[in-house]
Amino acid sequence: MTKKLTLFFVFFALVFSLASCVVEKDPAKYTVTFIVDGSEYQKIEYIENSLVTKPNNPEKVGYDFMGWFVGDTLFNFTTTKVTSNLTLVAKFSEKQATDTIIVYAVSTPEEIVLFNENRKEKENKRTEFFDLTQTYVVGDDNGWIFKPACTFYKVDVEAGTQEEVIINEWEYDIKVYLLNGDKFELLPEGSEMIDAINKVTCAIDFSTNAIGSAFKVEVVPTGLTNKQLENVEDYTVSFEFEVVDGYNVYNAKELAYMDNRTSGAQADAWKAFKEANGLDATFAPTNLIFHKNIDITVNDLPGYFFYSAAELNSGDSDYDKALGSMKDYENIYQRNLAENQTFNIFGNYYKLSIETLREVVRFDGKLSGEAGTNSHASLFRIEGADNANASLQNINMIGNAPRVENSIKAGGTILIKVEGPAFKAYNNLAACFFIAYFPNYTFTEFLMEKCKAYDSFNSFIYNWGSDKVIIKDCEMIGAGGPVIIQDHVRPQNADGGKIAHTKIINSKLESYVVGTEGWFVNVGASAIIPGIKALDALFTPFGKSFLKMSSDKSLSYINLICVNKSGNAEGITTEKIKGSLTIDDLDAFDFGADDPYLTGLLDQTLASGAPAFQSSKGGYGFTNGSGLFDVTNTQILDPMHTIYQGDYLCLYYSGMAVILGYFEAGQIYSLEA
Amino acid sequence: MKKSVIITIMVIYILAIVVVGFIGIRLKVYNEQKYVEKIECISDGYKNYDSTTTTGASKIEAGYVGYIRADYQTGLKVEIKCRITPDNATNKKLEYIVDDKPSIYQLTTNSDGTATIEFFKGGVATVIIRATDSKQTQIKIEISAFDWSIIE
Repeated sequence: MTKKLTLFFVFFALVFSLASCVVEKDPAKYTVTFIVDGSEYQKIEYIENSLVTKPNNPEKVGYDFMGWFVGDTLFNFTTTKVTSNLTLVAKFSEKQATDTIIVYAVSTPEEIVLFNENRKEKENKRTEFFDLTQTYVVGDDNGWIFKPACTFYKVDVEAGTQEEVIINEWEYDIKVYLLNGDKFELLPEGSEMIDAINKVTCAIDFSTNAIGSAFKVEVVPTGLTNKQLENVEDYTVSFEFEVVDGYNVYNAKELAYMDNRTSGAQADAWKAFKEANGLDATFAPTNLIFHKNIDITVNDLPGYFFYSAAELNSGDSDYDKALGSMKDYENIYQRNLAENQTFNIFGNYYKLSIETLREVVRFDGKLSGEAGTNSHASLFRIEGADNANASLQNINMIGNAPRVENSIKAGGTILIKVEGPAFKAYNNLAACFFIAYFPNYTFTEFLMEKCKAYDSFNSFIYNWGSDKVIIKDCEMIGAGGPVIIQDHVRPQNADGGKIAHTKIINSKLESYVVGTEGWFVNVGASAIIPGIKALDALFTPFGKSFLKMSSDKSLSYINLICVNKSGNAEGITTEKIKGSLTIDDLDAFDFGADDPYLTGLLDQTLASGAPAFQSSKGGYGFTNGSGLFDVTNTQILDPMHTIYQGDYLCLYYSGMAVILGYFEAGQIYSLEA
Repeated sequence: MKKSVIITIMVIYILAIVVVGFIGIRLKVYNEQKYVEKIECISDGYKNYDSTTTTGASKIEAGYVGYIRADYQTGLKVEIKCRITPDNATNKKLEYIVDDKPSIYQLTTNSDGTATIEFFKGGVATVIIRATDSKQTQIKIEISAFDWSIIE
């Protein structure tokens, strides 16, 4: 029995021992993973039924942290125990800014608004271009900027206030469409027609592949609100145009790219100017294209063109007047064209002004007197090969020499001189130049078509020995001298010199002058005017006149269309000269070039000093003071004689041909005309 | 009246005729065009931009001279009135040039040479006021009608 009991106790001891050695079971553990925007933020193991420790709140720019969620349920860290693996996801809400920049309003760029306005009919026809249909052109050499005019506001929603702010860098959506047939097709990104688009400056740089094509651009600022996007057309600007070869000009300094002289003081001056102003001194674009109004001031030009103190003597009697004045015989911008080259200025209907440039005071560098000095300085000059071409198109130009009493304006600037290349001025307005167009000893076509010119101190056109000058569909009114002056250059040369020929087609040319205006005084012509006016008495008995009276009869005006003279003289001479002025299909005023009777008559009257006349109806005669006589010395008494007919009358007198307006006697000249 | 006084009066009278006649003749000879040299906006509520502020300086650099600001309300009309120099300019007529935005505003030129811009909703009009003579002197102003409801 004792053995059994011992065995029993040993068995129980063993069992108890074994039981006490059994390892106690570990509690369950679970992983809690924190996710922020799809990425693991934190991962921690927790024992079953423990509470999760809330990690630091994650941050996200522009958002507020809302909490940790399981699905859509916000996790409660204080009560929810871990009983399984958990994934807690951070949720955020977008911050409501109390201070926001908004695009409040969008407008078409000012320059495009002006372009559209400049192509409209005007009440003042002097500011209305003849051709209102020309397309806007854009160059491919540099970027063209089409940036909407935006108004930005900083708005504080909480405070309820708004304040306009200037934002210079804002991004825009820009779409460019190519005109294909009659439809615009959106150009894809990376199109070979576009080198680059800058979405902040809105500069579109077209490639050479775009030349000759038409496009449309649409620009919308980014950042519009949903409400604004419902009326996105209010915030979209668009425009159609064509691309040409050329450089887009945005300021007066960039006009320097016209000048391509390579030698001489002017070339050196322009080179230094370009380098000082960040311009490429070696770049001479084929064409220049205007994209805004340009005012050229003295600061936009090399100082070379104006007298500095170092170039004058302080003791000169005209020192104060000459200091800062323009140098005579200078051409500010000059383009030299080699064979077959072209150069064009496309104005896009904008305005170019040189109003503030000083006049020439010293003739050819000599000390000046009291009276004004006739200028020989030009704004533009084109010269070169006679198979080169140049043009000036669609531009409104304002000079510095209106038709005024102040004779200093005789030193005003000539708009453009051309010698060599064929030239076309098309659809321009020009006012207040000393002389507007100057075909200068050029023997290719010099054409002015659909051009208007007004209010010049001197003439609108000065033809210096050029034989192919054409004025077509133009209007030129209000010169201070003749509308046209044309010179037979060097008539005594063995080869006969260079004869000026001008043809007028369908144009209105008027210059009503008294004969004492500044130009007449400066050239010494005022002395002969009374004698010319006295000759009107030959015509008035027959109902014709070349004089119009002022309403109070105190003044008589002549419509001085053209003076054809010797290039050697400013006034009357005894030189026999040639030249022609043709008006439409009327008989030419050409010194009888094709009429031996008229030629013979003029040879006699030149020798005798007697005035001779030719009407635009072909009649001609001379006067000995007592009446008008034909080539047979018979007095012309028939009022139906062709010499008493026509709209124009030419006076041949002392080496000149003076073409005048011719009308019914007794007419009144209106100053407002 | 003393003889000397009568003679003095007669001389002055004749001199006046001669001088005035001479000046008049000179004017008729030259028939000078007097171009508009300066335009100033004198509308009610108009203010010049202040060049000493950042916004003002930027606006001036962009070519603006001033502005008129109003809160938009139905039927809002703003009159644009200007003064030109010289006051004996040959052609005193001005033209008012704006971007074509018929859904936002309409500009009308009045017979007295002023203009009126009517807003149909909140917006901003850039107005170029330009002389109609050959020189086309111009200024640019901004007229804004603020309406928060077009934004949100």
